[in-house]
Amino acid sequence: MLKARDKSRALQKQDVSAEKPPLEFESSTHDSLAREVKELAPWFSEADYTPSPHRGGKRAAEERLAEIKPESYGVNRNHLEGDVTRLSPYISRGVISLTDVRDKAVASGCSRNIEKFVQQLAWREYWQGVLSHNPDWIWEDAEDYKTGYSADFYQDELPKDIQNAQTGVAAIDHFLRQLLREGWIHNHARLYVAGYICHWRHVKWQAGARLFLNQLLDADPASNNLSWQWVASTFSHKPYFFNLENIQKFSGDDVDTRPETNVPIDASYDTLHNRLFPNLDPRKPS
Amino acid sequence: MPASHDNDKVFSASATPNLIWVHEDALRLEHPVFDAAGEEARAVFIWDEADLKRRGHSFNKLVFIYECLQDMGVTIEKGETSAVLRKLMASHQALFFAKTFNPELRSLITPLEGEITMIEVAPERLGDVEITPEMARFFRFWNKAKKSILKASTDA
Repeated sequence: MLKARDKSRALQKQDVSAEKPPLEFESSTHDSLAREVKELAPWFSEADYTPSPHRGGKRAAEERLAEIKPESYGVNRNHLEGDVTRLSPYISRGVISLTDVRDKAVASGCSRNIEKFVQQLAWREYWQGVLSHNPDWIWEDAEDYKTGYSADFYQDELPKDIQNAQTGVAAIDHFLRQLLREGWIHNHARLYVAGYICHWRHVKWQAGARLFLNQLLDADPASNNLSWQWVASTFSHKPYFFNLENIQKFSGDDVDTRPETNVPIDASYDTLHNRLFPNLDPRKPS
Repeated sequence: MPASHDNDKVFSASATPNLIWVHEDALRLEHPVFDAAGEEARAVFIWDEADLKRRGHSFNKLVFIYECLQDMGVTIEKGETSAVLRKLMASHQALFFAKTFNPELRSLITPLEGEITMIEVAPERLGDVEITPEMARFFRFWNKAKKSILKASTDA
């Protein structure tokens, strides 16, 4: 830990040799900060001007860290309303360290669920390690697709309806709207969106990964891009896909999971497998 | 290539202070880069408009980063990253920066390589097992590393 005098050193106004004086912070409220950023980033339109509910800074990170429930996380983390920590923006931006979070979890007990929690933290270091050995994998396919299609089959650009959260698939639009509004969505929702973009819409994983990198507060190229490759099947032995029943099982009442508003994803896994991957060996619908 | 932080002692004893390039992947004063750079080091974040636009950061993300910077109290300079750092380095000894795994972010200081002394400082690690190319799937890594990873820092 830095001592107080260290922080005061960092707070000193600095006599630098640049021609323009350094910027000074003028306010401490979230809305005022957003206005200051608007002045610093004039390329954004007023329509973009909706600050996320996620607050930056050490205090906000420590408050969230104090609230984590690693024991129940191990039980219900796949549920969109489960006890996930929402610490990822602070970890990715380096506001707190992985060891801070690990220490807090381990101090709360020793069980299979705590181990599960810490294991999720270890994924981040794992992805970074994989990428350090294979730096090209950040944007290049690690392996061929296992979908029955070659990479050339997939389109390069993200369609506008996906960018605007207007795909017509209610659950997917819900997750995309939350992504655009908050800069954060649950990991399971990330898998749903990624699976939809790659396998229903036949868009290259790179286009989806770029959307997430731009929008997520916790964007981390190693874990983000390699996770997209995992969904696409270029870094796994089979493509990840889902169905409406799975979303119904793991989401809360706020997500529209009616069959009539989610037609493309409302089918059994076997039916969807044969529909999405017609060049693979068919599965017999049960 | 930048030196590792093992060499930091050489650069922390001089009267000329070091400079710390604060970037979006290490927004805390407790990061080891601050200790490695020494007490007299100056810290600066570069608001590189062209880069932020090019990488397509959302407005929300910029607000989040800005709020973290306010909390840290570091100076923000506007301009092109390598040009601003080059100018500041005229009165500093070595450039310290936190290791980032984002190649686009890392590339911002590539033009300075060979020109100035650059020292990269890694963050705290969960465990002590190195990830090798053979660990092509997560659980090969986890099964080797979990004992050290599950050990809290205070036990180390």
